[in-house]
Amino acid sequence: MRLSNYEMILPLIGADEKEIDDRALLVNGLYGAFDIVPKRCADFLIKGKFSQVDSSLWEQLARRGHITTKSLEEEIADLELLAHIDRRIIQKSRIDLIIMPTYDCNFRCPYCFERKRLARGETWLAKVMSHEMIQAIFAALDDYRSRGYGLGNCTLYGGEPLMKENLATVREIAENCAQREMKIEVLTNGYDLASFIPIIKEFPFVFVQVPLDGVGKTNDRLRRHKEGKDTYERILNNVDMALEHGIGVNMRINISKENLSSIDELTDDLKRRGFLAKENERRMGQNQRGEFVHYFKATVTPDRNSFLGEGGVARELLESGRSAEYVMEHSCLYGIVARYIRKLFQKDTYVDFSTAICNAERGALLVDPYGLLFPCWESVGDDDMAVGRVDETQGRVLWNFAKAKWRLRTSDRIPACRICPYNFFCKGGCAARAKDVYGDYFREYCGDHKQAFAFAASHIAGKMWQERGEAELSLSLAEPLAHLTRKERYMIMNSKSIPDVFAIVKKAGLLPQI
Amino acid sequence: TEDEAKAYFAEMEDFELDGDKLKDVA
Repeated sequence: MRLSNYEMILPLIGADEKEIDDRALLVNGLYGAFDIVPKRCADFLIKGKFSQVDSSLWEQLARRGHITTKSLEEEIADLELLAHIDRRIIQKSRIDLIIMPTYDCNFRCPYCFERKRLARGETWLAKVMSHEMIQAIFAALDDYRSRGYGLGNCTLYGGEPLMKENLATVREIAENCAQREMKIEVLTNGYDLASFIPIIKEFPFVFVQVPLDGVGKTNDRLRRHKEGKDTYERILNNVDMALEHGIGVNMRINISKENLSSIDELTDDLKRRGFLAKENERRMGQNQRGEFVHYFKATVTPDRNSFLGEGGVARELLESGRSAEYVMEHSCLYGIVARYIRKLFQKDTYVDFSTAICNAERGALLVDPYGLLFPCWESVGDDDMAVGRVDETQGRVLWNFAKAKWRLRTSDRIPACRICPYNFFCKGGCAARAKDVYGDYFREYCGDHKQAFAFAASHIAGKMWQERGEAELSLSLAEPLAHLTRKERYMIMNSKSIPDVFAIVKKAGLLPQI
Repeated sequence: TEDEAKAYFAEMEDFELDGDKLKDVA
């Protein structure tokens, strides 16, 4: 018997922000098992003194995968089995769409990761997706659907997708989405948002995301209009107008060392303008505004001296006197991790065992105005990075060799990730950031995932322990996996029949949400 | 690699289940 290679032992933090002295949190990253144990038990496990662990606790820890008789190779085989199920069934079930109506933008933000596209000239930049290309994209989606795939969401992206001169193009895309019951998300700078409110209300938009970089002139300097016009007041007025029309808005506040004061200044300004009070009223059913969410994120800037990282943003929030709960609601990465851990603690689903971090690996169609397909949002505009194109004459998708590489940039294959306890929580990390750090899209990128996970898990589990005294906090994949026969494992890994694999997976109870 | 080449062909395969029923899991 030994401690699993995917085991994490974390402190428990109580509501008073102090460590709970007599308990520790065990997390098995491979099976998604979260268990609270006496501190002395955790000490025995760390020292390998398994015989001193209480018998009933021993059985519980073995059943849930924290301690195991499996070799490392057998644990990796479990990882590969789960990744294979995800790749064959779950990922394959859905096609998401990301459309860039144009590369053009009315802003010239100094840190924009698409700045390189400006070198290609005004004519190339100003191209707007044609009616024929839009028809071809949706014909390709219809082909996917006719072959069994489900259609996911459509995200409008740019350039700037909501420039008022492109109203007709956005309407045509939205009409096509509505006909196929696809929900729409849009990432916009918000400058022309008011012009699009009628379209957003008419079609199934689920939210609008608008970023800010500070108050007033700070924002105007960093979110710079290409003609030098002020942007802050107009963006906030547009956001308020959208909310009044019942449209949900995610406001992301970019933070770097250059605009640290924006944390307090923007929060104060949002309060002064009534955004936060009106959101509280909405939650109590006292108005019909759209949902307003705001959160802080480390600006992805090429200036490494200015880059804070997600951990840096969380640290700044804490040092400004904000609580751990506030950080887990309003910090981008910490919030994502905290919401996910809380979901697991509801015990109605296993850990998400996909090893693909984002649409680049999961096979979404990211189409530029010329019909080229790209793997990653940050690779657009660089034709060398294209993985295929939409054939305008046939209405179908054609892939090149690079597509195969991206499909398998997953955490069951990246060497550093295969034996990492955070595998199913960070999934290999962002490929674009890996390129920044290592010059290689196909390396791992850990970023601040480990810190975010430890922070959120310790706080959420600690609070639950104090409130409920519950020790077994989540479901564990170790249990259904233990019931698979050798033949069933072989069939999952080798059968060419997706229905046969699905039948085994369903019988084993690995997908309780279906 | 052989696995990557197989993944390329998998892009063109039909999905033999009802994707609309499974897509919310993904």
